[in-house]
Amino acid sequence: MTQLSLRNPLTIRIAAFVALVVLVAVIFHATAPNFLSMTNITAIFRHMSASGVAALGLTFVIVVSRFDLSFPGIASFGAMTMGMLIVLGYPLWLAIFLAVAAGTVLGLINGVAIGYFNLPDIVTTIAVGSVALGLSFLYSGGMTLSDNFMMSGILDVNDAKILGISGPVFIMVMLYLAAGIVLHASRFGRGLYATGENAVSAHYSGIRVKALMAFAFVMCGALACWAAVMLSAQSGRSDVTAGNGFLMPAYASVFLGAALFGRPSAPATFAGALLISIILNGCTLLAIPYYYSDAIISAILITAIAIFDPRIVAALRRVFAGRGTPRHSKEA
Amino acid sequence: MSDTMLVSRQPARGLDLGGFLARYGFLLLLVLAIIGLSIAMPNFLDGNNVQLMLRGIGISALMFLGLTWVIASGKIDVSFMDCAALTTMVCASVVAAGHGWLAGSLAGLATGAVLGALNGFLVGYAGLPPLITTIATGSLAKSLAWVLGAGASLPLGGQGGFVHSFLATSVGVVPLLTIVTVAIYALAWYAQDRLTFGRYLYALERNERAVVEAGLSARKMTLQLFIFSGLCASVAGILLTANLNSGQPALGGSYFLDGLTAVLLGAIVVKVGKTNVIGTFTGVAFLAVLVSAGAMLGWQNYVREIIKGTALLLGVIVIFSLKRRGGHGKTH
Amino acid sequence: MTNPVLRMRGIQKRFGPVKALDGVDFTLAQGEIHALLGTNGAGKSTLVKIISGLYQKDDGTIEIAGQEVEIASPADAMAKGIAAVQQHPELIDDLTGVENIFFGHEGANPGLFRRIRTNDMRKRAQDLLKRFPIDIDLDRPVAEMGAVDREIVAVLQALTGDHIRVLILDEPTSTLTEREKASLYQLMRALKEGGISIIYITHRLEEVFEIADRLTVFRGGRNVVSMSSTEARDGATSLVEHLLGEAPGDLYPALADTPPGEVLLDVQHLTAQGAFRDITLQARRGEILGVYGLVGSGLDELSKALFGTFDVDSGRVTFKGREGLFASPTEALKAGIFLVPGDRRTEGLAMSDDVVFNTVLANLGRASRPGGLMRWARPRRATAELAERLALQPPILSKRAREFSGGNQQKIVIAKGLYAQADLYIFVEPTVGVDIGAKAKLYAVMRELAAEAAVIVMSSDGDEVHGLADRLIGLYRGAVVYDAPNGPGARDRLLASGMMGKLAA
Repeated sequence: MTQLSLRNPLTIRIAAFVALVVLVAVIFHATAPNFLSMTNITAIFRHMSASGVAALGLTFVIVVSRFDLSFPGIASFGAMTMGMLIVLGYPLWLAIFLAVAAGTVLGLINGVAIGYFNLPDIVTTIAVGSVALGLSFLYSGGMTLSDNFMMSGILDVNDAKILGISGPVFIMVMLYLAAGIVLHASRFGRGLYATGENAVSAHYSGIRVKALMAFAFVMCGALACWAAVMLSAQSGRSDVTAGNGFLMPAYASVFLGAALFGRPSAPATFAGALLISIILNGCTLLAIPYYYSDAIISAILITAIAIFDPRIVAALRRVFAGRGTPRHSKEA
Repeated sequence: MSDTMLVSRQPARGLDLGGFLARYGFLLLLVLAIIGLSIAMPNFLDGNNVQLMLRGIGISALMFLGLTWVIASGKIDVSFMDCAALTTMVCASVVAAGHGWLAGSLAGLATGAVLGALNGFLVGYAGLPPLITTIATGSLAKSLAWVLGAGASLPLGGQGGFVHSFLATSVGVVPLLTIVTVAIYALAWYAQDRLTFGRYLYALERNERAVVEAGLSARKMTLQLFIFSGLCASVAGILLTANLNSGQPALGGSYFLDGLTAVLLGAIVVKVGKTNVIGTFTGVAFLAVLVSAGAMLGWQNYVREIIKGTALLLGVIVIFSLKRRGGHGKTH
Repeated sequence: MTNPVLRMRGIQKRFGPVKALDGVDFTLAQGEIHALLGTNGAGKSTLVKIISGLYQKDDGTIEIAGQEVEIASPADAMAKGIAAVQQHPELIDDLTGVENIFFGHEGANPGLFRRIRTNDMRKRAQDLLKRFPIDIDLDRPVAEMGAVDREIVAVLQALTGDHIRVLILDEPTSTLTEREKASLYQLMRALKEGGISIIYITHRLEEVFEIADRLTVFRGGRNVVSMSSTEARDGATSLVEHLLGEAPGDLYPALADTPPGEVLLDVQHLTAQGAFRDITLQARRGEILGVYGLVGSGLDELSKALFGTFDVDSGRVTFKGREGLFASPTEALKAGIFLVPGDRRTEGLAMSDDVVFNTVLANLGRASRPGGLMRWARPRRATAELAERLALQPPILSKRAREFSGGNQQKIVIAKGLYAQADLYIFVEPTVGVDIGAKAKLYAVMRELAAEAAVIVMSSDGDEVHGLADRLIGLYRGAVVYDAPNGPGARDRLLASGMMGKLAA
């Protein structure tokens, strides 16, 4: 029975994650006593909500073993689409709906090009992202949109409390739950993982590989626009730069989570995003200037993927066993 | 002595119009565009405008040279513009501290070399995926750039130096910078098409195992390519420091898309489907003409962005349909 | 009398409990073409790997030109004058033959920034072709070359080192056209004239008779007999006997004792250019149909055509009364066909996922509720039952597919098929890399399956096909050359048909 815990690596990984969170919390609490206050904990979750949703979309694409560099551009287009509709006085629900629809369409373009026509993912998504970013300038020539925002009710999305939880956090949690069910409890999700793991064997198992590949990109585009909507609700305006801030946190969340939990998944991305948000929040409390944040995240990201990479683990083991080649010791 | 056994010395490609158009169509298009534009708008070929364009081409072309080869070897580097941004800050800091432009330039070069070495080590030796790695290191560089300026750019007073003189020198209407860039590209073309370097470079992308079996070190070459890419970005960074007379941590955005667009569009020139230096130069020139013509025609910025993105997407489609026609369709 | 180029005595090699080589003696004379024959697992490839430095012998001696040596690595083998050309040589597709031959040696010295001496390479290539006269256009990119031409390029690459005395040549995988065969023989004769000894591994007996000087037959890790190919040609049947030995006994379950049921799959005159032609066969419920064919016989393509992943040119296929081939595996599975693919690592399994994940993958509908939500307990229970039925070792359902042995990986693929509840099961090379204990279990399961479904076993292991199947088909170069019910004397006819394309006397 002693083997039970070792047999289930997930238990260990969850424990490791909790320990990591506790450790970070203790360190920050010791230096900034208000770190564990309710207000601050809420702030942590609020802070992660928008980029967390973008990261959730990216998770789908990473699950099918592809990359997407277009979602920041798509998010900007979504933000500007919504902003323009609000400025023109359309109802809020329609504005949000069309913003997410725009993301869906652009995601579908990615998905069809990559899933059905086998175009290379990185280049295709760079191109689509750049077109999307160009299109986002279309409405206002790049000017920030904020007219009518007060009246439209979009700010209420940010300020509302649902079941005692602040609006954006509630939306994020709901989206994670829904995505979690799709990814981990539906046959759809099984197909997505099978596609990402081995597209050939998935094809031989009757999985509709191409359609699922396209679906993953659609999710990424649609959720990026959701994230943009939430960001606009937070800031009270729509900006062509809305998506710029999503790229790095999204990749960091997904890969940090995947590194922690062994594979990309909705809970893993959530954990990654949460950990990053905690660390950034703590740094803010410690009065570390904001411009350190990307350095901190990227340093964590590189370390995480390096430490959890099986090849690196194997190499380190060789080094420590004394049979290794010395070249691995010069890591900075 | 005629060689009887090696019958077809050169495959008869001279009459293949389709192949010719595929190889040189883009170049032809560029020349036609320049001729057309100069007829339509006489001030397009105005001395000032030409000089402006050529200087822009020079800096961009230098920045994307290393990137061209990184992509040719089957990897990707998305940290180049952040590397250039960090270089401007390092260089400006050293100059502002009164150590002069020589020290500033050397510090800038060292920045590129170190960042490139980090990328090359993580990708070549640690085997991490190049996209994630360079997203992370790019973000790190960008963040460090902001740290150096404590959240602001770093303006330089009238501390002109040899870099300024270099930029200001022209031979007739042609800036010295352009002449030097063309010379460097000529050398690069020689290395790429006439020296063993180019052969191993492209072989690395096709079949890394064959390269290793031939006794070459794929890891070392990857490291060297990334270092070179870092150096190219930092050379451009140094020039930009002088050109803008300041360190600019926010530098980048447009260079990022321009770089990837120029390099990947360049892959439809001369060598079908392979990024190469002639192609990159053509791509850079194309973008410069586009920007210049757009400005004269009073286009909004977004029109340019959309054209760039669309061109890139079309380029990808052209490359892949050509490659498939060439019979490599069995790859997934 | 001169020393043989290579002499090996008493070579032993074990892999865990399995004795791969059990005291093998082997002698290679100067300038001879020496064919190695034997069924899968007979030990010939292990021996060759020891010669080329990939494996280390456990015991025995190796002499090269009378000198006792140890061969530590492939590089060491090269240094001692032994070069091996792989079945799939590592070449760079865009480069021409000449460029591939001298890849890594383009400059006067090794280095990144050396001038590529195109003319010098060209001249050296001509010198090589003068030494070994072969018709080949070395200015073509190797991407445009066929299997044999690629192999020739790889051989010439190996021969740029002037000191190479022994060349190990593996049979090219694809079926050879007459032209290709001619150029392969030309290559081998040219090498022989140049004083190089060749160890040639092949499955095709006719090639041996045509080109080899001597041959050695392996069976069960021993060299059974060596003879000249003229001797072999005169007594072809005895050679087949040497190859096959006694038919293995109680590894296989009894054949069906009831007459077969209705025809589920009816294939008429199925043809796919370059892969197989005019294939006619029927699979019946309650029967195992065995198809025997070597690499290049079109076996793999045929299985894929039936499963909807390989295009055919003509012919008619009827499955359960419905006519027409399936457009995709999704449709084939829906109709009730399951393929156990030949390469389970790349085609059969998601290696990083666990047993349950893999088992239910081909029938997610059964593993989920009507709304598409996965069921939790039922698939688990079903997987546990299948694991028990198949004797999966270890029976831990949360283990990843990668962590199982080859035989148990195959059991997971079969569990997937059982979970899919198909009416027709097609097994391709079902026991490659499977140890003997697991084999017997797999065979028993296949027989059990045949009670309710139709089973087709396609294999390059003739004994397997003969041992299992109720009806036998021999496939040779894409065509059916033998089709008969299993019975006395069927084994030799089946094996001879698959190896030589004709029936032995």
